[in-house]
Amino acid sequence: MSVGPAQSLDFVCVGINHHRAPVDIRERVAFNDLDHALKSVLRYDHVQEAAILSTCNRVELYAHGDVLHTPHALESFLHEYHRLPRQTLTPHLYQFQGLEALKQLFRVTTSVDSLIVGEPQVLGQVKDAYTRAHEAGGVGPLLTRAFSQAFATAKRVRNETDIGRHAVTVSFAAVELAHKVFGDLKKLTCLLVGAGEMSELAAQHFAHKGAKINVVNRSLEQAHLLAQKYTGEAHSLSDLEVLLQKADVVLTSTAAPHFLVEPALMRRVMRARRHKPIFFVDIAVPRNVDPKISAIDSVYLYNIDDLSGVVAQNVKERLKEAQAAHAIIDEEIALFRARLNEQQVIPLILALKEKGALIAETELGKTLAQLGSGLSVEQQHQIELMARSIVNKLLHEPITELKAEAKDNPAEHLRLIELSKRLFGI
Amino acid sequence: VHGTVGTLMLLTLHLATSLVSDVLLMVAAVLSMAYLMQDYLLRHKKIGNARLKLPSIHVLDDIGLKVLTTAFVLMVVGIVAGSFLAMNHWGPRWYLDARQLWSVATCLLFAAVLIARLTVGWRGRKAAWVTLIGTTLVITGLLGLNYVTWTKHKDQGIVVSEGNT
Repeated sequence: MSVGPAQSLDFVCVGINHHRAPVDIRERVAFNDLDHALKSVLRYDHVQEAAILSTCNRVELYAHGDVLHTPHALESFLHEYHRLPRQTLTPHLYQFQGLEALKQLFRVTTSVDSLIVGEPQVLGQVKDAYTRAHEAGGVGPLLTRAFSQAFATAKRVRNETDIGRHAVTVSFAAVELAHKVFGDLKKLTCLLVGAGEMSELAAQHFAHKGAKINVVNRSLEQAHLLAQKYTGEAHSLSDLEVLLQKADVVLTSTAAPHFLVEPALMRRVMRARRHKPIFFVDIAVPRNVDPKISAIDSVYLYNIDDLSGVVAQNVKERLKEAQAAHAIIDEEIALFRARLNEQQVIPLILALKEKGALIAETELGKTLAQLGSGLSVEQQHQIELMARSIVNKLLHEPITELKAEAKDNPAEHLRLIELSKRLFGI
Repeated sequence: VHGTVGTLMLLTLHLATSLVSDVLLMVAAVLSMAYLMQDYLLRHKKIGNARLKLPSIHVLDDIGLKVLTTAFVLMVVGIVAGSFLAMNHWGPRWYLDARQLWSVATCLLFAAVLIARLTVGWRGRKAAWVTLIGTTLVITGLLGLNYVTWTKHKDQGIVVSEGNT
């Protein structure tokens, strides 16, 4: 049995992303026909396996190939496939090799490299990239291992950190706050006063959670149009007081130059609704809701700046959580490395055992032939046992040591493998 | 206390309901504190960095009311049972006991809270504060009144005998 030279990880990443390249560059390398692209890249020399991740923020190629030539091949592919003059992309491209390339894959998959850190979409996009590569025949054992561990890492990051827990858009922040007031949003009544873009987006989130959406507008026609979208009731502005009595969440975004909701009105409303909590989200500028109403018991009011403040806090929180995610990524890389080392040492161990067994069998054959039929079956058996156990005892120490070294001392273990081959003549 | 099996049962009822009621009141106090904390965080827009994951305002209020109502009912039963015991054993001035008077006073306070909550839907911060104050009074009574001289609620040996005494 022959054992090839021990190798490090033949994994390469070449890519371009929002950190390094403006959109007018990124759009030129985006892939429309992924299957076609995968088949083309797999025809390049030094590309044994390949997957392409193409999203609006990044294009990355992951490939199994030697770290010396494959990056160049991938770079040529990007230029040639998109018919770009040589070197156009070069200043914007980044390359990673070996474990660093693997780390980049983990960073992307866990969303710590995303524009909005912790956003959940990128995991789906990476999974998609892997599936497409698999379908195009670009996936072999290395990519399978790399991607499946990337997915496992993403899962760990999601479970063990709060990286994606808090809302980082104004409309989602409104939904999250409503959760803190009401818990379950299913049976809520949401009142949409006027229709700005952001409040409508928030209304959509609430509708999606099962809340009922009523609409108030200065023009009843407009109100009807909107209410149809959510199958809610439409009213004119004169019904506001009655509607406030029934509403749980109120989203205001009219162009009214004065306050629509004032403390006197709100006190009447609160009595009528038996002081049930009510949550105002005032996205209008100028504001539609008098800030003084927040002094009333069970009235919660957030304006656009408050929501932006919540979002800013959440973004900070996510960046803090990203630190924890980096630690998890490092752990997973170490794990991958340990497994890789173990796998590199396995052929050598097999060869050692095989050689030992062969020697034992050969010598046994000779000995038993010389002693001839003078031995009982039991005696023959004892001699066979002795020969094998001498070999096993002799090999036990080196094998244990090789395994341990692969796990605990990855830097040294390649040298040890070479040395062992020389010592044992393999 | 010397008495019949009936007395023993009354005593058991009195002790059990009072004990459970006191425990539930403490739960209600914790819920009120959580409510006030969540209300404070929401009001002061300190939501993002709160490591603490408190239940929603609605849930805290809802469960708080249920716990308080149950505690109140048990408290009334405990007081009534206790009154019968006292009437039978402490003579004509049975109602002049510090702990007994204290219990009736706090019980009336909770009655007022519950009536306000159930009729006009009184709730929110004020309700939470009053609940907190009420429970604090009860617990103070429980711990503090043992050191007051004019209570017969201590050093109570129980002797049960059949028939007449």
